[in-house]
Amino acid sequence: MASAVEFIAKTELGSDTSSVSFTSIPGTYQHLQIRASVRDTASDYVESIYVQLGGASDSPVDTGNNYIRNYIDVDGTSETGSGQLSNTNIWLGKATAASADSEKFGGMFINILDYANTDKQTTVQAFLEAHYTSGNSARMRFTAGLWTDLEAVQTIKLIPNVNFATHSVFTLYGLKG
Amino acid sequence: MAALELINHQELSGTATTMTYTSIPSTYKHLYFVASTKTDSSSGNINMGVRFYTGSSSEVSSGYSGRLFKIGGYLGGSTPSGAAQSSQAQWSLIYEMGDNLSQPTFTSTEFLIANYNTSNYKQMLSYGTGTGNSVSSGQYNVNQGAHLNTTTAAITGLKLMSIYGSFVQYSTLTIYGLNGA
Repeated sequence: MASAVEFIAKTELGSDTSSVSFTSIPGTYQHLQIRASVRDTASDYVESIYVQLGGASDSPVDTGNNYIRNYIDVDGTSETGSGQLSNTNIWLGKATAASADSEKFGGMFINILDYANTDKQTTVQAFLEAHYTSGNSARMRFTAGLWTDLEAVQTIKLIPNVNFATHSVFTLYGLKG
Repeated sequence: MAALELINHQELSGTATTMTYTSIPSTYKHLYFVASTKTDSSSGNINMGVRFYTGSSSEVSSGYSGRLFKIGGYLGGSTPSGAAQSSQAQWSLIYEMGDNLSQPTFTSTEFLIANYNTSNYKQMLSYGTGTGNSVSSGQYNVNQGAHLNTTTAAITGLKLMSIYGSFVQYSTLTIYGLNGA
């Protein structure tokens, strides 16, 4: 039987980069998944990662206040929940940054179900984790994000606080339905 | 051999209280399924359920238990909380968006049932996220669940249940099989 998951694109950074975009995403899959190993060059132990989406009418992503985010943060000792309306992006959480050990990268996955269905606003489901000291300290975020647009997703833009660090890797897959 | 194979996909053309598939082959190692759902219940955020079948369409309707970690939901508040259930008629510590905002906002939930066709107890992981155009209580959810049923027979089918109200049009359920050695 044929594989239900297909590789669409991969970006592995050879230098520090201010954003990573997947463009011209075909509408032929049922769902999208992103798997990434990320690090930010910001001078902190962890720093924020964001995502913006775009459809046919965007150039190439929607930068308006059309994103909503709710999330749980877990830092190893406590859990907090929060959310914000009317954002210009979905805040996915915090990735390992420059003050952490140089070998440490955070893991991230994103699910975008029914991304080409123009009868649904687009829900972005994400998990991001980061170890940020030489010990066991870590941060995790579970995110419910929403793009309040009905267009099929054609572009995904991932944005760090400063730059994505060299060797960060982003892979986009399409799942059949 | 492909590592992930499509078993079944369904999208509702109207409302329905369940989405069911009862012909899951025994040839995979694990089951992975994803659902994009919303109910027509007037509540903001409520439970949905999962049951499984064994043998030739024998529906298991008892012995479901689980643990939950979440924010939002029908119980409200932005403070993360936990919950536990035992002796239930289905796995139900799983949340989805209701219709109190009349918005086309659906909940995304992914599920994993490892070793679904062995004589082990059946365990399921779930991770659900959904949000409406509000951060108020009952209009968003982030939930992770660990679920157990002590049935030892192989799983041959799955039923996704809208416990309150019906799933609305465009709700989808996609079931995949993961191959393993």
